Amino acid sequence: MFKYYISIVLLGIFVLALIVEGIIIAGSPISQKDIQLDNNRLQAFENIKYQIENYYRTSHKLPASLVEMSSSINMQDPETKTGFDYKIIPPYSYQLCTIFSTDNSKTAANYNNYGLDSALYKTHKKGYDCVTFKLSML
Amino acid sequence: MDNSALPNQNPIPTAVPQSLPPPLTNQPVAKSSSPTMWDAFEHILMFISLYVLATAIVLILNFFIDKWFPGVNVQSYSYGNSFNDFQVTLLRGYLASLIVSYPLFSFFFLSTTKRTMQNPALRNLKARKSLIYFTLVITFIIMLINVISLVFKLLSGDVTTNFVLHLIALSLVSGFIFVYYLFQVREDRKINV
Repeated sequence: MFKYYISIVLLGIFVLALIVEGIIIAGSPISQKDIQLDNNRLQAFENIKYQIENYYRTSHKLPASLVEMSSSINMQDPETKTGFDYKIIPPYSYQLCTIFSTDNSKTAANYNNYGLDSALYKTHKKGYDCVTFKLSML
Repeated sequence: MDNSALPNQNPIPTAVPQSLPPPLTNQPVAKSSSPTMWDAFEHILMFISLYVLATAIVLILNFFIDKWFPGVNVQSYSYGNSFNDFQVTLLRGYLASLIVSYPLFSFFFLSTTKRTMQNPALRNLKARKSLIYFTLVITFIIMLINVISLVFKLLSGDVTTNFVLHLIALSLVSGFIFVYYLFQVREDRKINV
């Protein structure tokens, strides 16, 4: 019976090594949560970007603040539940800022964005950072 | 109430182990230790978790081989060592099945082995025999396909490190299971003859 216990323990060590190596490749659950949060933030930026462009089409100017646009989309940070910062950079650009959980400058560089100015392919640093957009219909 | 009831019951369980005969060998088996439905049930669960565990191990090994020794197909040429989201999601799936199936397999394997050693009549359990032979046939077919694909690749001249390592991983896992149960079958026959 003893040799069976030994073999099960050996198999367990092997399985544990596979699991550890797999988690190193797939990313730990904690860092995955941060990545998901940042994806939500970038998705929110993408939605806000469309709202701002719609606003520009109708009123021919950038909104002075995000609350000026009457919209049903979620404009809150997924973690802190506070609003995003919004700055106008004259003449046709604007920035959206929030506190990011991860630095995606390495991973986002792997994606080919095919020239799209989508928020989902923008890079950001960890901590407070801003993403700059330009009105795309110009 | 419970405390007062317990001391009266205590002498009975302590007396029982002393009166039990050691569960030994070729004696006609007592009715209490004859194979039951529970043994068949445990064997079925053990083999199911064995299949899940072995499949997960092979798939994870294949993933690592693709990472460390990328092949020469278009995909690994274009993307190199980086994996897309879908592959990483698959890896998480393999990891989850490994994490779940290993404890289940260890528990059922140790439990069935222990019971079989205590009670050799279990070796004649119909469920056990059919499962062992079924596993032998399946692992044999896997290894057969493996060797055929190796010969095929040799003949067409495109044997790569990546392919050979995939083959070794699959053959090692299925071969190990095959050899272990082949020995079990031989042991069973030795006891029955």
